[in-house]
Amino acid sequence: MSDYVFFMLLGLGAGAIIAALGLGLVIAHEGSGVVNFAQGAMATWVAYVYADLRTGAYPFPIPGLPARYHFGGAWADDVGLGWALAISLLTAAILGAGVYLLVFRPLRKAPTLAKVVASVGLVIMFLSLVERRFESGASIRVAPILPRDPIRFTDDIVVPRDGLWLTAVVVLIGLVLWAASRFTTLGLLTRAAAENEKGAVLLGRSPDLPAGASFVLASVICGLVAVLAAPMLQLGSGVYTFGFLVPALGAALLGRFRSIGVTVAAGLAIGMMQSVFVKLQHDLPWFPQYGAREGLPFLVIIITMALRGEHLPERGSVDTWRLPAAPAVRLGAAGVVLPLVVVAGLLWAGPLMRGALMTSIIGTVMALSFVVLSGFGGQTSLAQAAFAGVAAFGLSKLAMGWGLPFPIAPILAVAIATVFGVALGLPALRLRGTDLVIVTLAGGVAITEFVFKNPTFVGDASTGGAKVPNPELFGWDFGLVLGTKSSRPVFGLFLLAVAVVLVVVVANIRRSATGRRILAVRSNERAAAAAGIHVAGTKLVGFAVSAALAAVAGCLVAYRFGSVSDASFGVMASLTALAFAYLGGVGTVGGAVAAGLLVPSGVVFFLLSRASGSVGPWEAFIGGVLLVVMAIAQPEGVAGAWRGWRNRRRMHGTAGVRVPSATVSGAEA
Amino acid sequence: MRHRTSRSTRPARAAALLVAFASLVACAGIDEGESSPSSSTAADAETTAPPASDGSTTPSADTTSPDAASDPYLVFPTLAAPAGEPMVVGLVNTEGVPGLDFPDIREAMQGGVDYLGQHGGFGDRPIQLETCIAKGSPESSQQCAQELVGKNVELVLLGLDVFPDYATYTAAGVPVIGVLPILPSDYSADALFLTGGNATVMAAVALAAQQHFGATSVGIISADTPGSNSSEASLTAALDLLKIAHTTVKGGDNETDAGFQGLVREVASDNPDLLVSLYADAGCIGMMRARASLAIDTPVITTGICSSVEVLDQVGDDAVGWSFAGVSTRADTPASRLVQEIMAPVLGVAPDEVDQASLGLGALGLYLVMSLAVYSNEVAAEGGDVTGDAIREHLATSDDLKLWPGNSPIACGAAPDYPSICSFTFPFAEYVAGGEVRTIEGLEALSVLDHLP
Repeated sequence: MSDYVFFMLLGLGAGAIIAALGLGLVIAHEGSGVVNFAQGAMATWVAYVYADLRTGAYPFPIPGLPARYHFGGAWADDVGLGWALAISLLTAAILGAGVYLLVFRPLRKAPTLAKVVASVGLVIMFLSLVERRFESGASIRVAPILPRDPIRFTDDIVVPRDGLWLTAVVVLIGLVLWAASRFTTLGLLTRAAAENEKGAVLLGRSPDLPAGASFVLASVICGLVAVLAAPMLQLGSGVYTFGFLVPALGAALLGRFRSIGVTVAAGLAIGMMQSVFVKLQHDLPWFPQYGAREGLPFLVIIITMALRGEHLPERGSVDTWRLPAAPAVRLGAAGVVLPLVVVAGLLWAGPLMRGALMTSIIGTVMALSFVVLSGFGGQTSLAQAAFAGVAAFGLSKLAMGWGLPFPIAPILAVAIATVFGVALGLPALRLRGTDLVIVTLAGGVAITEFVFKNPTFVGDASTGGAKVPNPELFGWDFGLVLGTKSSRPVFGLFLLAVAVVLVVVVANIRRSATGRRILAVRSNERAAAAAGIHVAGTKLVGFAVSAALAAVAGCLVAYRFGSVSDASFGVMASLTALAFAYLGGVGTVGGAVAAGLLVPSGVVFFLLSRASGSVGPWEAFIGGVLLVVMAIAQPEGVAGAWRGWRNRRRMHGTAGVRVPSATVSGAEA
Repeated sequence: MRHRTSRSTRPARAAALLVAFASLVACAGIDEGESSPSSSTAADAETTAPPASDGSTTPSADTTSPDAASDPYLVFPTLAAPAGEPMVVGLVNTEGVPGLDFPDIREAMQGGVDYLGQHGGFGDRPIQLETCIAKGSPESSQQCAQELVGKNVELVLLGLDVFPDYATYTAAGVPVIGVLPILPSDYSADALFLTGGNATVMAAVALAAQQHFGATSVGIISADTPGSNSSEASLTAALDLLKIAHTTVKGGDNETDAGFQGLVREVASDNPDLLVSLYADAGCIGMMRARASLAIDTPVITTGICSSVEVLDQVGDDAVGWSFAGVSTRADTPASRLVQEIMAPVLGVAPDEVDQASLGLGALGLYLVMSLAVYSNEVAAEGGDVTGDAIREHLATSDDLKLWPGNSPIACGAAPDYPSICSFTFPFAEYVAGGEVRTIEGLEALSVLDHLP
């Protein structure tokens, strides 16, 4: 028993970090309604600022400025603990305010998806910022801040003191925040705005103040704990950004993005549980050998959320919840010309342009999965890349391991991934909005942990990884590479044929009775149920179709590269896929096509890189900035902008009447 | 003051780095026992040009000691600028992606190419390097492959490319030679890798456990990540071959120092004869500190990444009891001084300020370029045309090749199940109190050829 207590105590330090990031997420969400996926990335920057200050320098976060300011005199080598902490926290406060004012305040009336996209852009920005400003050594060890000499509970239980101190700090912060939320005007206003933003506005209170304050507070708290915890681990750009943020999302989810106490407790519990898993894995032969540590907590979260029953409360909003327009699509000139242009490109363009076209076609198929789920269904999933990965690895197993031919192998692989999709869609029957985003993220993490980490499923050196043969039908090989041909147009035509079929299928779904049912559920579940629509079944259909589409994209990726890697299907891949699908426009198949054109290494990127050349080491940073700017400037995506411009032009041409943006509410759609 | 030259950032795929550094230090440490003549500026040294295709030589303005001039691996300072037809060589490297940013490899390779531009090139052919930056995705790697094939490169060098598009290179008939294998599929790819990668290093660890430590039971500590799990699978397969019992304790990718204590305590609870740590980066420091703080004296083997200056500076004598696969004593040799001379302009410092132990992954890139220059000169000396195919063929079929700049043997395809791997011999070193890393007697060159799973 003492062993388990020992491991629980050891896990407190990590648990405190998770709890603190969870607190930051809850505070920001309470104040603004935003799930800030960049919370960990912002804390990372603050920790690096502190580390740099302890060497007598301050890093500038803006490209073009000098990399850092070097202090002189007594501060030449180290500004000292106190000043370093103060300047770091001031940086955190400015960062929080800046991120809110420049990014999330302009997005306050935008759909949730736009905020998710913006936060993904911020993650990319901060990650690349750290790597650019600390390129001579992003892995930093910071000198101890908290006392770390061991504390002896019993002869068997001797643990470092710093983890306990950090836990005390986080618990204290939690208590202060709880008291502030109960007994201060700002706290009460924040809670009121969270309950009913309209009410707060009617009472003459601007929701901007609590929103901005919440971002500053969240940034300072997370920054403080990131700095205090830095000596307990090795600082790296991804440690807080992903490593601790993902379980922190779980803690915040268990706290319903509202309860400070539950979030802190859940964060500490996750840390302790992950530590105890080391012991359990060793003691219990049946305990999962792969992925349990990060995956099991999320399985628990998903199951708990599914079983708990009532849906999570959604934050009130001044504006009606805007859903992307999802008009029925009719075959126009563009629908005929575009495939012909693509065919011409595949046949006659060079291999580089052909490759970009293939990337765009596969990107279109992946974006179609978001069109069905998010555009038609109003649901959001951050597990789409995981579904694609399940299909891709499944295809490898079926085709290489079992020798199943095309098209049986990919069909079965898609079916397997669809089962995963339906399983993850079950919580969606009770969840919506940001809560569903987090649960699907958890599902994606669980799949990544249990499937993609297991050499049995993904192969190892003895199996040569997860290879995939060329697609071949009746002896006709239409793979990308064959013999001395390294970029065969026929493979691009195969991709195009699949994509066109799926575009037609999705467009028909929109026009069909099923599509109308999905849209009805999206607009108003109660009204849909009253009209006799089976809401749960309709939602599951949406998830199943969406997962199947993502799975097809995964199979196409596998066929294109001839092998599968877990790196293509992680959580970040899902976030990126969602971001670009959103930028294209998730409401229509036209949006999916636009998204395909926009994806990294796709046609637009290829043409831009040819026109302007590489922007060098700041490329990722600039990409993140553009993602944020696009999310703010055009929340309806490229397709929405095009539709709006066309409608306005048409109306000007006919009656001279100015028509508002294409953004419409769900009911209108 | 020594200049810290490492520019490597920490990739998400820790296993790649782990192996890379293991291989790196294997290269860096292979000069043990060599003499230390003066640097390459001795005015009275003879001058030699690279052997031309007819085997003749031409004078050069560069000079070095007579001993070095007779060593094909150290002859470069004596060689004149190449005068043959330029060879277009492609280079694929991953940069600019958070977590996958390795400009130091490209810079070091470019440094080697620049140096060879004044000292013999590839068999008297100037090297025209066409670089393509991959973005850590299969799409960008395939784009690089198409781009380089389109530029009619004779040879493709892989710096760190996570998803090399072998099919495209093979279809175009372009030979591929890489720094190190990363993914499992690399081991059987249509390419050659001058360093061994996970599978071979793990076999060496298992063999050292049996032969040197006499272990009948091993406790493994590993991160639960795809890369580490793949390494662990290789290690346990090698241990099974040698009938060594093993247990594994898995930790997270982001452990706190306290978390490492739990891992070490748990793995030691079975009283194994030996521990093997598969952690890299921060894990090295955490593991060493945890073992020391728990006063556990079971010996530990890990990979070369944990012998880096950055790690040992942090932990000091907490590293006593730790051995490193692929590492040997570092010494001041003509080869090390040549590395300093080549890297000094790349880093913008004086040669004596170049700290080889901190070159990071860049050193691997440099060693690859310089090794190929040696092989090219041999092709030329044998009277053959120096082409990309010829260099690859020479590398694949010749005996007695070594990895520049020392004497680590190269034997491509010697293991049928690992046809792309060229390196199967590893030294082991141990940390001794006071800060020295010293080659373990009897483990100077452990061959794993007969012990691969």
